Amino acid sequence: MSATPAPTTGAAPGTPIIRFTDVTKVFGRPRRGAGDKPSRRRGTTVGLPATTDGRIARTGGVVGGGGMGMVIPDGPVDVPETDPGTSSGQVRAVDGVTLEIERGEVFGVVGYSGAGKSTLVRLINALERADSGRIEVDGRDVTALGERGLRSLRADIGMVFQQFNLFSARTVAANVGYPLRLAGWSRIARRERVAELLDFVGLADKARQYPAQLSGGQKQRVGIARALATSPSILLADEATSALDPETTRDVLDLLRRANRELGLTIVVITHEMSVVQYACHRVAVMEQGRVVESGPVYSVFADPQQPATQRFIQTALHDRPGPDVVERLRERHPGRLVVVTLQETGRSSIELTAATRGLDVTANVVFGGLTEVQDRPFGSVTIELAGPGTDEAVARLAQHASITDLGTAVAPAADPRWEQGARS
Amino acid sequence: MTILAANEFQWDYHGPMLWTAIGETLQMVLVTLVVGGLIGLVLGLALYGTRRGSMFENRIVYGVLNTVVNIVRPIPFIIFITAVRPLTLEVIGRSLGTAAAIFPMIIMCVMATSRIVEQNLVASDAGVIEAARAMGASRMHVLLRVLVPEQLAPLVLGYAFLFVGVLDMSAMAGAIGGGGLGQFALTYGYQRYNDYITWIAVAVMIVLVQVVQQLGNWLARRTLHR
Repeated sequence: MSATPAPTTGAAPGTPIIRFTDVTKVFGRPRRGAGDKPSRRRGTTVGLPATTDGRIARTGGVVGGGGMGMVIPDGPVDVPETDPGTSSGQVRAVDGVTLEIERGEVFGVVGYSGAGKSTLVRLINALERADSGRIEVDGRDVTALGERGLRSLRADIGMVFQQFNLFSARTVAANVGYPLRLAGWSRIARRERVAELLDFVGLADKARQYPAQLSGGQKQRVGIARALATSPSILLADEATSALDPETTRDVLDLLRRANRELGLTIVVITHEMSVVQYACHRVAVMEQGRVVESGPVYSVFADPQQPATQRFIQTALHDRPGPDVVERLRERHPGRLVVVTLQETGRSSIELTAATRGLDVTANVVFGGLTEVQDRPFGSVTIELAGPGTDEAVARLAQHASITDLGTAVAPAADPRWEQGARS
Repeated sequence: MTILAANEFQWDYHGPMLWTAIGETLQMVLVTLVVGGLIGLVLGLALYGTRRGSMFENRIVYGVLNTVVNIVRPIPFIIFITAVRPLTLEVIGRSLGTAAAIFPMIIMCVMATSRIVEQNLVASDAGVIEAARAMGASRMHVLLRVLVPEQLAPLVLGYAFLFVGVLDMSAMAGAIGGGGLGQFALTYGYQRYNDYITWIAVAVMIVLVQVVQQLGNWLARRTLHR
């Protein structure tokens, strides 16, 4: 698929459709009847020590929320107020999150397995109930809704899943028609709407097939059609592309972008792949150990990542900055001064090297780098080797026009400050 | 002189009795499977639904149901028939005959069915439950209209499996005059040293089981879309 421009923002900015206020969700707390989703209940019911402010002590180590629960080493993280770990089996899957998602935007939530992003998104349609804090969706207070209120809320929130979760005993058409049946649509109205939806996702010819007869990408299209059936205003995509190959991922993301653009749908995309955020999202929140450690417009997060976790994620998408081991290898062949030049959001779409070297006795070789598009604006960096008497002057000129990181020479090396922070990955 | 007629099958003598026995067996088995299977389905859904972590989680209800099933299930059926005789008399009005045999068979069948239903539902995909819940389906809707259809193929196979168990039970109905192939084999085969009769009864049962299992497999294939 071609990289068609992403919409900047689908609707008027500044009107939140989803608002989290200091929301916390703890797994493993002794609790009765609150969960209606057995598969995600985990941890043991053990008493837990409370911190002085009356909240539950934070758990280091295993963090729940994703499919598996992954061990995240405790290390030097500049996350504010990191509570000490406990060994009680308690997991703060979502920890004091405050967040606003605007109407009509594609909002990405990125984090490693177990960072709490799956739990966060399930709080929106109350598949998980928050332990504290407030969640508003389209003006409704989700935390206060009962079973009946939840059902009408959920009819307005579509959801797609990593494993598609289609009904294997129903045909494609019956899968897509299922939420319409729940909503009480007549058979004739259903048939018409299902045909329309299958047309939208490009599967009109598969209506009578069963999910098992479809490829992964086709299954996810059915999942999306099903999620869109009742014309919800919000779509939650939980790792919707993580089980798909890159090409199919692109197709599915294009479909989501089209739904956002043409239907004005607000989409929350959960992913561990920064490339998905880069391609499809307007804004992004980075989660780590149940907290949102950084959030903002995708381009500015990419251009100026504040947190080590964010920097690591961006590197997984771009691979544009050389790591310490790469630099070591580069120095063997390139004894000159290595400088990483970043293409920033300054209106220009290229890195001009001639201006920096004009009239100077210096050679400039591109030795490493990667340029791509983020939010349809060029982004990335190149690492160049400068050699010759005019090197110092060239570096000074570069620094005036672009954001640079000076790695020094083989004789007098300097480190990229991001290595230090990213070292614990 | 007449010798005890061992090892022979006399069409005019044994034939009609064999037909009657087959009829009685089919009657007992089918009534038991339909009635017991339906009640067992309901009990199985209740067991699954109230399990720990399930949608209607209820420790007390599950504890009671689970215990009842666990108490009844291991009782050898021949003992069970006699043990529930007062109850049979109360409910059916007699404690001998085919109808009297069907009553304990139904109870036992309910217990067995409930476990098979519970086990099959436990194996269902949690993601599918989540998807249906996310679309706003009620818990009861998920249980009856999503999980049962999704697990229909293994349920059908479970019922085919039950048929064999019920056929086995029906053979013991002879003990209280229930008739059927079991009684036929015991009375005219074993007790009269006529092995032919026993073997013929066995052969008929084998054929019955084969037919039902084939039918079950075929139905399961039709309903399985994986």
